[in-house]
Amino acid sequence: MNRKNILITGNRKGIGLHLTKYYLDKGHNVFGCSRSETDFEHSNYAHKVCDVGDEKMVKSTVLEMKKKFGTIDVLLNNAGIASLNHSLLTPGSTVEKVFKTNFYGSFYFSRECAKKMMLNKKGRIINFSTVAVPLDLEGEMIYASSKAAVEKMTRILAKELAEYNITVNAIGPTPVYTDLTKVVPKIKMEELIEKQPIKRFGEFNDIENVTDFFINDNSNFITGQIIYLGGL
Amino acid sequence: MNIEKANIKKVIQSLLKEYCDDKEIEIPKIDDETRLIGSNALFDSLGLVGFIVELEEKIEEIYSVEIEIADEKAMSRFKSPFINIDSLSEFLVGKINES
Repeated sequence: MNRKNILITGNRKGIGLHLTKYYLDKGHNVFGCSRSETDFEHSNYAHKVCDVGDEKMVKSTVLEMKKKFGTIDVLLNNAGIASLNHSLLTPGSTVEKVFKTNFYGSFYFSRECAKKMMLNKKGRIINFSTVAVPLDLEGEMIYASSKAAVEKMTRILAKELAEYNITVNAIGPTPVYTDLTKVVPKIKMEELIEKQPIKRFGEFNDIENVTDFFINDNSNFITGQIIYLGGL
Repeated sequence: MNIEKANIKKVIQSLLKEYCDDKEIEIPKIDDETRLIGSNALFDSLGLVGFIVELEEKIEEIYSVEIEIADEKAMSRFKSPFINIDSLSEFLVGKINES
């Protein structure tokens, strides 16, 4: 098996934790980071406390991963926060907080990892968007806008990094039952599901399927793509 | 930190040679006046990006300092520090010694 060194941001719980366990089970090395400590342990796993919106912390996290595993083959920019509110009731501080984590965090990690990947002449960056972007959901203006910025970054970075054999793609998951979505009223979630051609919640294995595809060695001709789940 | 300009120059020259060999960029000679950007320069803008990233890594490896070479200060200078090896060495000495 071709063992890869994978960095997963925001992996203390939810999709990030699931992907961490999934890739460790497949025999890869995983380096994770989150805003608080984790009690997760594995012989091929290392963790660092990091606020992804803090540029200095991101740099030291990437450096530590490189020291630990030698190279960074894959970056999964999973860390994200949501904010559900009418735009007229949204304070500026919320906008700043959401963009700091979702957009700045993805940018800082992409930039720092791409610098290491360039030296290795290969790499895979996978960003996380959301179906809220194409659906233009009311009440999710800030969250969807921050993820729309992530999509634009994905497409432009893909062009800028292509010559270094680094691919940059994004997945746009439908709602999956996680801490991020449990605060959303049930009726709202059902309304959202009704807008999808395939009307069901996403499962963790739907996400694995797409990240596996982007990571696969045979996907070296796939870059700048956003794959939405659920038929959007 | 107190780094001599001559030492930085050596680091840049040696990395430049390595980088050009790797990228198969023909380079007649490397000296203070070797142009990095502009007309008759070694790099186009993308080539310079790649070289700067490798230079940042090299400096970190040798001097254990983390610097951003192409920061706002560098980009807003009237005379670009990336013109040639001499100007880049001068700029880097300042950056490293400040850190």
